[in-house]
Amino acid sequence: MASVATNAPGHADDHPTGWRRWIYSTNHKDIGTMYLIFAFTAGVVGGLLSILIRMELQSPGTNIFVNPQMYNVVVTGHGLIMVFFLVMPALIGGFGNWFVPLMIGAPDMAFPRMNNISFWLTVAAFCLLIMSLFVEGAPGSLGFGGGWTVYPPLSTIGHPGPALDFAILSLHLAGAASILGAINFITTILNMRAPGMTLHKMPLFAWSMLVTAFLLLLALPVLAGAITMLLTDRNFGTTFFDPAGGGDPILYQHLFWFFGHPEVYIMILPAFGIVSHIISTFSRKPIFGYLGMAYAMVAIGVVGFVVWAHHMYTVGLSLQTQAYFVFATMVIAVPTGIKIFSWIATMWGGSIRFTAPMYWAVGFIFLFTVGGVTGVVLANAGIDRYMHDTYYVVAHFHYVLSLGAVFIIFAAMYYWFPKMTGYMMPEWVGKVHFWIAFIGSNILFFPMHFLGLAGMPRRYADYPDAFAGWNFVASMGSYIFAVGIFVFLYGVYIAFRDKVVAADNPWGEGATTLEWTLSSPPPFHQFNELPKIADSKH
Amino acid sequence: MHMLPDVLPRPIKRLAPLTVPLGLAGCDGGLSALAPAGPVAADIAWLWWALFAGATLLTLFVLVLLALAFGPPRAVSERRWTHGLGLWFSLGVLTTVLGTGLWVGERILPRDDDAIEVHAHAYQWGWRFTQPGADGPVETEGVLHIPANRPVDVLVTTEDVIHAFWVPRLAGKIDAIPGRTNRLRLEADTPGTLSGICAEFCGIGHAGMRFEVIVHAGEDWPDALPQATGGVDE
Amino acid sequence: MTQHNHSPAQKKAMRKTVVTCLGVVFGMVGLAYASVPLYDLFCRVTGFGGTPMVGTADAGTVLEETVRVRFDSNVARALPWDFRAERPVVQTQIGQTETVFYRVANTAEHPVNGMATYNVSPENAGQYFVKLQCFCFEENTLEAGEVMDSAVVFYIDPAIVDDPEFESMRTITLSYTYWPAVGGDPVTTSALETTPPRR
Repeated sequence: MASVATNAPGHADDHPTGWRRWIYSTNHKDIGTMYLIFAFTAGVVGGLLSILIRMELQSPGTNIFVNPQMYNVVVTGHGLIMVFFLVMPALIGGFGNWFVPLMIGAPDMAFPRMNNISFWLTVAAFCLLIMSLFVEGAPGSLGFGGGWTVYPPLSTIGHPGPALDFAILSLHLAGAASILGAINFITTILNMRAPGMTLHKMPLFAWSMLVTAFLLLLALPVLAGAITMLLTDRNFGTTFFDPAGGGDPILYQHLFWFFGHPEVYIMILPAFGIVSHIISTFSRKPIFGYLGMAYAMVAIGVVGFVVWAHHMYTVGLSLQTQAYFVFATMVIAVPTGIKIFSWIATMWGGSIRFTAPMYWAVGFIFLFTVGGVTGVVLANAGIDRYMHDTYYVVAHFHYVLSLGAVFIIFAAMYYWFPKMTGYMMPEWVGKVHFWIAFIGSNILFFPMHFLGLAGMPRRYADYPDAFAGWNFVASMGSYIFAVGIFVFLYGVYIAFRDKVVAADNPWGEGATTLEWTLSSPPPFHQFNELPKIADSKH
Repeated sequence: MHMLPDVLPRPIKRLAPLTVPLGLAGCDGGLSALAPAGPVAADIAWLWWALFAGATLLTLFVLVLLALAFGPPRAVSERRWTHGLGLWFSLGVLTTVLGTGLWVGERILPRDDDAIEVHAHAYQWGWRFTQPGADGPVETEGVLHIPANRPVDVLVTTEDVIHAFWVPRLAGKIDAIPGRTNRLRLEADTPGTLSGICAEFCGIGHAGMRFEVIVHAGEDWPDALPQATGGVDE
Repeated sequence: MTQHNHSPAQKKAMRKTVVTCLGVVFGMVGLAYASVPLYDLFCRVTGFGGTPMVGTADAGTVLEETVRVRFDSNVARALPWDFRAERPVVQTQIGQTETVFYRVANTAEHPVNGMATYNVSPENAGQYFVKLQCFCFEENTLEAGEVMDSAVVFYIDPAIVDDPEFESMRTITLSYTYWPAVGGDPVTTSALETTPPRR
């Protein structure tokens, strides 16, 4: 280990400036920053698409799109962008790159150049996806409009144009980037922890990234295989999913959801890790039930691979198959319950400071609980066969992802902003933003439960008048939510304008992870002298 | 929101249905799963209300625990929180939910009781139905005829992409999948007209792919069917 | 100067991690492809997805109890064929070998290639539906106006009465769909062609 310390000063001179610092960057903090900026940009694009969706749905009739196909292209684009280019890059590429090495006491990621490749592949993937919006998909219209699940045969015979081929290649690139990133995280976490930091002393965010990386490693290749088969079905005459050639379109659904369900946990597990740190910091207490928390994430990851067909209750599964998937799905709620109660127990045991990041984290616990219980309701095959593909499902997954993962992206921004930039952001910014987002998103998504119960299906550009009331309310909510983004941007602006210098540890005694022992912002190369971990703080 | 009427007079009128409790607009009929018109749908609606009550209690419980956290520090024991609440409480709730779900699932299984068989054939973008008439099969376009108080098996097929057959007031959905025939059991309580839709996204005409289910009184069946195999136009 | 200086032991451990990870990735891609034949095999063996069993001999035992078997026939839109079962439904004793004929006719003015696929619903009846002879997954060419009769020979496995879901399988539907054979005429049913509803 000593060799690392003595050789490290060589790096200190290796500090490129200007555009080289960023384009060629191999520094985990710079790459993390680029991921965050990229994710924010992609999020704005995806958010604009969602505003278009809500404008179209604000009242019945055709409002802003020329035809329903265009509307569905926008819905598909919104889904793909938010999943692959907002949530994953922000939580995994952004905060993961920034804080996993810092938290485990490593000088950088294991493969810094590969890290750079991952980032630029993600950017290229995003460009391909944007391009796909502007080439022909269905005859006579631009873009692919078959939903983010890309079910055949609608995605094969329904969209002969090249738009979906662009989107498939985009997913290939994004998937390759994520797999490389996952290998990087696994190698870093397993091999580069500071002396004394055993896995059981490792901070929960690092744990969450480790589990997430394994999920990526196991799930993404299956997606890559499935969409490659789709690509050859479309272009090279294979019949993997074409019944006329002995294929089965349901096989695609099995493969897609074998990836798609773990993907849900890929998006939410890093958020679980971050929430644990925020709750612990502002309760001034180590996280309650640390080991239970870590292994709950492992359990969620493992069980997440055997529940996929609960997305497919309507394809005609036999009763026994449905009963199995109902059971397996319910099992996942147990580790999730352990996590929710452990967060609350941490707060019970501590003395709480109600700071901006804590607002977001507590808001997350509440909203994730709502999304969780609606999920348990949906897990019932009998009910799901009513709710499937209605707005009830839309409400459910936006509660766990939009109000879950996205809330934690903002929580993490407010929590780590001083560490990343070295400047304090005024407390009121995060709090005002929180209330706008909390109120806006609930007005936006809660009514969707009612719409779903009343029978409004997804992917409708136009709808019967009976659904008009709650759709109008939901649209208003989306505009409110959007205002919050400007508050956030204004906060970033005044932080850099006023340059209120942040201390190494601005949050006080509760913030015990290693990143708070470094300066704010941390030096370009940290831990030249590797830290020694003695006690078992988390 | 109270300022809205001045700014947006037109859309605000649409808010009128919000006065319906819980916003279950369309409970009077339409597409609401909570306005059952048959025994299967009634069982599922009952299951929904049971789960809804449970879900509400659970959410309130978590909310109360969360609110109580904002007090002075208290001793928290792993036995109570991780094992008691996290493990056993969650397991208890889920076992109850699972048991109820399976019990209802078993109840709504189709039994062999002289069900009549109709055929729903989906295409982009419409439905063609075949039902047994007094003298031979009767084919109709966009309208399905069934008798009241008699189980009906709907055989669902498609000739192009995946569609889904859904009459929300009678039963859950079933996908129409290329290369297979799926079966759905329906039963309607009373004569009348119900709405059905395609519930799996199938392209540009998806939202318009609706159909009607006309439920005939038992004694009128099958004489009330349109006789010519031409049936009713969409 | 971007790689760190790791100790040889650490380098070895890292290499091992990376190789394992890559193995997992390639393994999963392989598994995705392997799932195509495996899924097919799985369906055939277990009857999952309503795939009928293939048998070679009669059941041996015939029970008093009967089930209803319906015969359903479909033709994909692009195929100008008329396709019907000779009898729409039979009431059969469990274990009794039955023969049912389907008749298919080409109504077009030119030869057409078609191929049939089938399944059984309810899905879990697939494992008890044993076919001794059928005409599935074979490409057929019908000349203009040609009529062809094909036989399906099957029995219902007596084990069905021991299934806890037996009550829901008192009526079994065997469903055939004829598709334009992919090798033949190009499939021209582009989904977004604004084909008006037939009739």
